[in-house]
Amino acid sequence: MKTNLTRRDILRFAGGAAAGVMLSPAPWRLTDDLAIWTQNWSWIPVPPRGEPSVRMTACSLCPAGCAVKARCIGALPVSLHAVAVDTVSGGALCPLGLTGHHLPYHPSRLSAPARIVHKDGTRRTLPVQIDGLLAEVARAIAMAAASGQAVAALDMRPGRSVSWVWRRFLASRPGGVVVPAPGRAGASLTTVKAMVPEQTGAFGLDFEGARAVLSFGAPLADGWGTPGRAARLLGRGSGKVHLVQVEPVRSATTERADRWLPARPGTEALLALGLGHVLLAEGLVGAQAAGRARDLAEYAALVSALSPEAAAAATGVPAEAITATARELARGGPALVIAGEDAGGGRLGRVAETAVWGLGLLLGGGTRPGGLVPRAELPEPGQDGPLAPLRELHELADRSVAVLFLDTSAGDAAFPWALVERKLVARGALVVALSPFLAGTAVRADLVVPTAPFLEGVQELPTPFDAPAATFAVATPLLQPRAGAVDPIAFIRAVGGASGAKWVGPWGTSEDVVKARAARIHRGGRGRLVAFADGAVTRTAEVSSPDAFWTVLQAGACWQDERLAAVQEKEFSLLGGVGGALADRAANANTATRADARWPLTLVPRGLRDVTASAAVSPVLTKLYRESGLRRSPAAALVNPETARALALRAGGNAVLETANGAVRLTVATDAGVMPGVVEVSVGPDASALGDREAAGAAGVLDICGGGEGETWGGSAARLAED
Amino acid sequence: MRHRALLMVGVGAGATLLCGWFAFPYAVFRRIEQPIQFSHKLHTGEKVGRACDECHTLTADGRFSGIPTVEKCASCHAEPQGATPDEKRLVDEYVKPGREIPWLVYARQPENVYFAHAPHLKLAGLACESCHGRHGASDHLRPFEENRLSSYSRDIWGRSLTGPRRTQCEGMTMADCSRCHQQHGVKESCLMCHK
Repeated sequence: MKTNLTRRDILRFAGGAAAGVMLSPAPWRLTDDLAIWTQNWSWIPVPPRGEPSVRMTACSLCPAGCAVKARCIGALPVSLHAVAVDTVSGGALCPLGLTGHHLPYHPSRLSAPARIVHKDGTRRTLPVQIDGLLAEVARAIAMAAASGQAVAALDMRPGRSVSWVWRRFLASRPGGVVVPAPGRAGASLTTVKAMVPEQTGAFGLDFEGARAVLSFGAPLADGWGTPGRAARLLGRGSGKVHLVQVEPVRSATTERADRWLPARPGTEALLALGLGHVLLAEGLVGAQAAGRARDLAEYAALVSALSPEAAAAATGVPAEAITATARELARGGPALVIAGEDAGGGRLGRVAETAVWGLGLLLGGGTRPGGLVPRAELPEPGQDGPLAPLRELHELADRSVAVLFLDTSAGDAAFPWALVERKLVARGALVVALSPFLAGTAVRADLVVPTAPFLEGVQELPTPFDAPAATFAVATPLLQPRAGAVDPIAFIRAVGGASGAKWVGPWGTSEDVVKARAARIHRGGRGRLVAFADGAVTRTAEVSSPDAFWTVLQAGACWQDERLAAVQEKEFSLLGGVGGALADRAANANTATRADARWPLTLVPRGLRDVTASAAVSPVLTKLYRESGLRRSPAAALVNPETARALALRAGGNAVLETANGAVRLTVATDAGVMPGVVEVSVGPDASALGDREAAGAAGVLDICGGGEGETWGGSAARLAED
Repeated sequence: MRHRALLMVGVGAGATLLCGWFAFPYAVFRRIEQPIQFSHKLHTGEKVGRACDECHTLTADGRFSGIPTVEKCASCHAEPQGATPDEKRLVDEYVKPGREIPWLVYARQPENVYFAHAPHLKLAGLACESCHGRHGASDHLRPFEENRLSSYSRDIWGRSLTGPRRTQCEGMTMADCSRCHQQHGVKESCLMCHK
């Protein structure tokens, strides 16, 4: 045999060596070790080491304002925990709150003012100096004034002291107006407020006193209201409230409900009127309601045609269920009827909300324990003065707004941008966003100004809309604000200065104005402070000074007002000025659900508060939204298996969902919990919310929604076809 | 011809198998002696009679002291108590100058891991040996076997390079923690250990 080593020998040796290597632990261990090695390079930041400590604050990522205990290492918050104290939320944190300490480091975080340029379907950001930005805004405001066009602020978190300052500032600008975010949680309470015109102050919801709750579209188990409160409400043992949920698709709330009434989208008003029919026909309405309802006779005439059978035919809810529900509500103790908003799907619309709230007023005779309860409003931060009007978005004339400020500094909201776009003047409109992140609504702006996110700036938590009494808390910052973050009050002041307006107050920063409001609360002498650290309760009257009051709030506490008397004996209207529209719906009940062959489906967008309330969410939440089936993906169109068969769609296949407003590409998923004829699509989180900055502004389901009554967008006619 | 081919393949495979199984562990780990030799057995034995938690303390607020500071050693060793060279070095190089001993921690976890002793000791009632083996009864400190690439101790990955654990206390990877959690019915979430 030849002993010379040939090339073939070397190749054989190499082949054997490769096989041998793969059968040894070396390559697998090296892969692991190299991965760890790359995580330990000297330039990769690591959390500092230091003494552990605990600090208290409040979560400002949604209006609920839950108490938060932050565990800190070396003064850096490393984990957030719920705190079991006697507040509205009662000790709960949602996934958004639990991961809130990640947000200051979010990839979509803005560090400097920028101009957003959209061209040829792409989006670029260009740096801009703040002085130049202010000059540009001032010019735009001046031009708007000269042209008789409006200057508006779209406030994603109305009710704050900063919200009031916007109104004071814009009162000095011709055509100034402040617009609360459309579809915001609690927006429907404005409808019932108009139905009880003599009631001063605001309304809260006394869930704890109710024995039964009939919810039209309020996702109680999915973040509506104050999340911890709803969880307690649905989880109470023998005292558990009897929940009836009206929703077209299965959800966590319908699963927890004692009865699910799957009414077809857009038929909620008819269902409410049908329930009212049963109450009146069976004599289940109390004398108080009969005595205080101004338009009871008109209401009775309207509902007379909506027997349970007629309502069943229109809504798809069985007649027996309608009758049984009405009887349960009337006989089962205090019943609270609520018209809700979906965080992604928006409101039911004024007409439907009126029918729903009217049903509640009929049952309860107005405000009472276990139902709607009156509550005082928080004092404003400063003295009375001219205020720019508050207008809902749909009340603005189309093409009337030349300058729009998007205040997403304290949170965001989900709604179709098209609703806003049609209010902007056709040419030359300027949109300026205040936001910590280049995500969410802020990407629609022309100019963005970076503000401090949660844990970096003082944020205020005014009364959550569902609270039965006024409350006030402060989200104390636990981190130094990053250089470049602009305070919203400082920005408004700077814009005013640049546009020649006299400043409206003594405040220079958000902390100043929030502290001023706290001082006014203290001077009122009402209520109590509940400390988060130990639950200690101190009456406001026992706090020696406004500074001491502020100190307690900053250390982590919530001020709670005294409850007002629940029964106020005010007259109310059951039809709220929309009797004509309700009568039309009742008269056309049998055509309510006639399908259009061109648009055979109804699009129901759905969202969760812990995604839509903040433009950015922790990238860790991919565990919920992408890597598990726990939350529905915004990339999926859910249809009933019957619907899929009828449209020749297969689960997992690609499809195009189209409405009159546009089209998006989605993946088909089937779910028997979605009624036939409905397509459900989840709203958010989009890729930019989870950290992919380049993906901001990509089309989503809200871009094809719209065209409903007022500023509603749920229930668009749609079609779904294989791509 | 065929024999030659098989021979070359076999030699190649054999060489890398030998390297992978025997030479590789020596290459990937380096042994570093602890700065001071310490005998747990002596300190917990009859002569000294210290309990474990006198040095490795769990405070009322749940914090764990881990390896004690040199101040703890100084409470007895302000001057040498015996005649060993290691104790003399302890006193001369660390206690008297007030310098912390740069112990090499066998159980050191990555920066993104937050581990709390309190729930494991108090809630789960685990003994120290469950995770640390008979380290508390050791007469001397074994060398720290440092992975040259990752810088973590071989104790984290386990003695065996292939994974199977020979004892319960072998290995401190996420999989090891998770396996024990599952055995004890502990519900896990990412945020529990990674803040």
